[in-house]
Amino acid sequence: MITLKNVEKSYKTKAGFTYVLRQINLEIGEGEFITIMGPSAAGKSTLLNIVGMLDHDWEGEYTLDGQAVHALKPKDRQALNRQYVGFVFQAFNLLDSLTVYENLDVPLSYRNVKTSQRAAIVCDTLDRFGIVGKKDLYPSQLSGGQQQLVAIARAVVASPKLILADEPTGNLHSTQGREIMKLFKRLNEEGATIIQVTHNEEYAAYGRRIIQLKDGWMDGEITPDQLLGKAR
Amino acid sequence: MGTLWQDIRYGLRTLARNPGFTTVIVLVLGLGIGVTTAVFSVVSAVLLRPLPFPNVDRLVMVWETEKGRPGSLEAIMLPQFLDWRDQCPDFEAMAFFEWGAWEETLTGVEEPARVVGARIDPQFFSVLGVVPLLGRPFTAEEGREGGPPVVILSHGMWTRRFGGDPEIIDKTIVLNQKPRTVVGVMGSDFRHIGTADFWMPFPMNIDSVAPVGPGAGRGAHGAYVVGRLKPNVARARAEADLEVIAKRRTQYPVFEPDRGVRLTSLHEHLVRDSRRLLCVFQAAALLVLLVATANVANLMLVRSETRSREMSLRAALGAGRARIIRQLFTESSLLALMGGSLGALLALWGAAGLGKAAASFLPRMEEVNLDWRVLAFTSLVSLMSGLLSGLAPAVRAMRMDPNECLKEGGAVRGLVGSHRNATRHMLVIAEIGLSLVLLIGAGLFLKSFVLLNQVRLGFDPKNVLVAQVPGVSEALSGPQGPELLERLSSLPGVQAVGAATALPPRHSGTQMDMTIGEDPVEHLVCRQEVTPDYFRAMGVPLVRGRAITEQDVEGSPHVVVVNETFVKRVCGGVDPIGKELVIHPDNPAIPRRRSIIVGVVRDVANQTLLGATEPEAYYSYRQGGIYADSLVLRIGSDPWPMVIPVRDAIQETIGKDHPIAIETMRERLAGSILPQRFQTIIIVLFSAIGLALAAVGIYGVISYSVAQRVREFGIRIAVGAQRAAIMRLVVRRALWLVAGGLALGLTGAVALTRVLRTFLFAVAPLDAVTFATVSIFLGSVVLLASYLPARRAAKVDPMVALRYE
Ligand SMILES: Nc1ncnc2c1ncn2[C@@H]1O[C@H](COP(=O)(O)OP(=O)(O)O)[C@@H](O)[C@H]1O
Ligand SMILES: [Mg+2]
Repeated sequence: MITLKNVEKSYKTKAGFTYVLRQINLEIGEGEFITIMGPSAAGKSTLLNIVGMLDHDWEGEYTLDGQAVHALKPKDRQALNRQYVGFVFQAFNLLDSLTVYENLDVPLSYRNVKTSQRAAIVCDTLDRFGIVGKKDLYPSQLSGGQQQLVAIARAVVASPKLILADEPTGNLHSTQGREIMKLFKRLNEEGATIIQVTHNEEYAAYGRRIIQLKDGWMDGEITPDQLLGKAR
Repeated sequence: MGTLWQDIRYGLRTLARNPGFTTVIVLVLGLGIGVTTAVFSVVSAVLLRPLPFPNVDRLVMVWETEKGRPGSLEAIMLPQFLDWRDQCPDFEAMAFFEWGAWEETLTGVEEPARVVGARIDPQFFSVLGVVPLLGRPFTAEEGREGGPPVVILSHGMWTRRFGGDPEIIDKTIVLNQKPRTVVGVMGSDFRHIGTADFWMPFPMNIDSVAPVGPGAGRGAHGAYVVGRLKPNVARARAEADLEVIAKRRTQYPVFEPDRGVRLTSLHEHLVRDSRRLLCVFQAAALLVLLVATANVANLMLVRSETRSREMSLRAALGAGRARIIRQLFTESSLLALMGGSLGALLALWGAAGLGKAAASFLPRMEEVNLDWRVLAFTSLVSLMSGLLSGLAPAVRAMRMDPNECLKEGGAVRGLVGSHRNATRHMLVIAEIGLSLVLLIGAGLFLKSFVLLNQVRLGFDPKNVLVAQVPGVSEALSGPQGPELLERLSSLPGVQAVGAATALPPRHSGTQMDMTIGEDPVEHLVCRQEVTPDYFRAMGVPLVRGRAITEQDVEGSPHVVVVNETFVKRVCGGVDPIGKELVIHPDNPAIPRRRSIIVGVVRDVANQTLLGATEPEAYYSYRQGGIYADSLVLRIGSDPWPMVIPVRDAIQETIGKDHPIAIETMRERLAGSILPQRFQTIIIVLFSAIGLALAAVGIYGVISYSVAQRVREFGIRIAVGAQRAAIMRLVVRRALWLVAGGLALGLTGAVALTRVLRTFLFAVAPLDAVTFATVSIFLGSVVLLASYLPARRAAKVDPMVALRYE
């Protein structure tokens, strides 16, 4: 589904160009569950943003479901983002002034979904995530785990084929984290392609492929078994 | 005291650290305070400062009124005045004077000049309680017909025309070619009620009580009466006594039974026509100040938010709430002080400008200055706006929980934030609302002024010169008349020359009772005399019959030409040509004048541009003489090159001693609506300032809220929002503010514009077109001001906004 060829990203600084990503070549099939690992500032978030088409300023080739993203105008990339991608962030990034229900409704409101359908979809999703009882609460009235649950619900409410999760468990304690990972597993089994970034090896092992990133370079790819074995 | 000084020092340092912020606030406040102070300096000079006469509260003007219409104040008939003066016990003294200008030509000096005087009763100065600086007041003897020709000079005329000659007393000056002896010079602080360069006695024939001069019949209401009440005499009692005396009169002219007497203070009479206008100006200026204050309050609020950490720190370090609030007020007071000083400077300049611009139609304009009263007002206003603008941040500081602020938790931010926004939004709504009231006022004035300029004149003002020539009446009425007209019409380029008693658009001639033949119904008709070519010179078309000709002289049958309104109102639309028009003088002793109507001319705007045209009758200047001060010349092309040849020709015919002022008819028309022009410019200027402040205000608020919501926009973009959707989000908020502001402003305008009715010409105070146009205009400006921050919002980079450290 995703093909990255020689993707590079640099920032212009006073000292010249600083590369954040170098020669990224990656092939990801539909329905895969990928983990990206690497030290801080390795470029993980940057890579995720490029794949999620929030970032338009990079070089190389990126093909998504047969469409050459690198050749698209920003506006069309955004359209593609809306069609394919759901984002989950470490900081939850819910809208504080909206209720849980309204937070879930926001992505649909940007996607030409009929109002009548929107309510049905939001209720469905609330149900699926077991947060119907929380629908009228504000984010500030929820625990961190509940907030991330809502954030994931918001990421999938528009049925994206691709879920991008940037350290989704970074702000959660372990029980909450495990719940979230189980949820990702279920979503993956239901057909979603998932790319997650994490520092936690236990959670990393939920991915079928683990891609290592270091100083912007791809630093090999291992399986969960290799990761866990190495840890032992 | 020590802590106060510390607060001040700290406040100054804080302000100096944010020079941009401080400058903007001082400018905004200075503008608001400057406008308010400038207007107040005029209000103070005209309305508040007492007239400079001793015991001025006992000085009154005496009027005849129509019972049941207390607003109708009429001047007094001279015989009536004499009865009162001699019989009423309530007054220490009473005097009369002629209202308005008595123009004469001063000669025998280097340059002949037109000077404006007033004719007065010899008692006039002593009633007011003033004595001349040099010389003496008039004696009773000098006030009689045939008395010695004397004059008292104003300080201004004495210094301007005679170089302040200390030996001027008993010297002779020449006014209208007649020598007059100077008996006195008034001090520089004395100002006539109205304007006057000099005073002469009103020549009265004490036996027949018939004053001499045009328009001064015994029955004429020509005297303005000023009296000094005895101490402790109530006005109501004096009014009653005067009425009793008046009704005792049995001789002509009698005091009609449906008439009454009214006293007004001298001051009130002087400012009567200006009070309402000045109140409107002051209200408009205060609106500008309120908009400015709301603006400053908003800026202070925004800044107090960026300073909340500092405030919490101070609280954590043990500063009590009172102390923090005092600090905030110290800062806003310092800003108000600076704004006030700037405002006073702006006002100094603005007040001088206002005084000069309005000198020809507002009284006491030469007294406009920044005195203690004005400065006290400025200080008060500055202090108030300082307090008002410091209020919102102070209330916030009072509500503040230091712990919360230091934690700066993400969760609580949403709730507190929306609460803070509410105050800011309310301030912006108030700004928009106040500006709308100002703008609607301006719109009404503007529309009215435009309509005023489109009034159907009835004549063609293009390429017409008007030459004001004092003393031209004598020339025209004498044998020189036809020669003067002939000489001017033969100048190359001049197409026609004429003269009339009164030129449009000002009130023309005298209104007199007239009848058609022996028909008993009397009609009030404006009467004036014209020369034959007057209608051609003005470009007034003849509708029927013929115009006045050179053959219409004394000895041949008297003829008259009327206007279309005359035909409509007096003749009921029937062709009047050939009918007899009879003038019925007030005094039965004067014989009636009978003339044949020979022509009808098109209506001319003859009641200034503001009033509806009145019936008018034009008589021949050679059948009874003419009283005119101007000649009208129609020029074939651009009239300007003709000014000097025309002046030379007039002076060569009637003598060099006539000062001549020549203007184009267009200038004259513009001059006639100078007050309206002034009102319109002032209100439009104020509303422009209000609009600019409101636009800046909304720009600031929307910008700030965009800055606050960067993270939210980032999230929305990350979950799929298009740029347009983000812009809509921002503009929608602005739209709500605009809607709120318009609702507030329209309500205010509906309530307030009715006071403008008297100033509006052909426009209703609730003119729907103006209300709608102005609302749309203001809404668009405000939305434009929010468009810039909205574009910034749409450019938010989600990666930057959501970067999690
Ligand atoms: N806007 C930016 N300008 C300059 N450098 C940036 C910018 N954003 C990110 N970087 C740099 O790019 C590198 C990779 O960042 P990021 O992808 O967020 O790393 P990770 O998510 O792996 O911790 C870091 O060194 C970071 O400082
Ligand atoms: Mg990261």
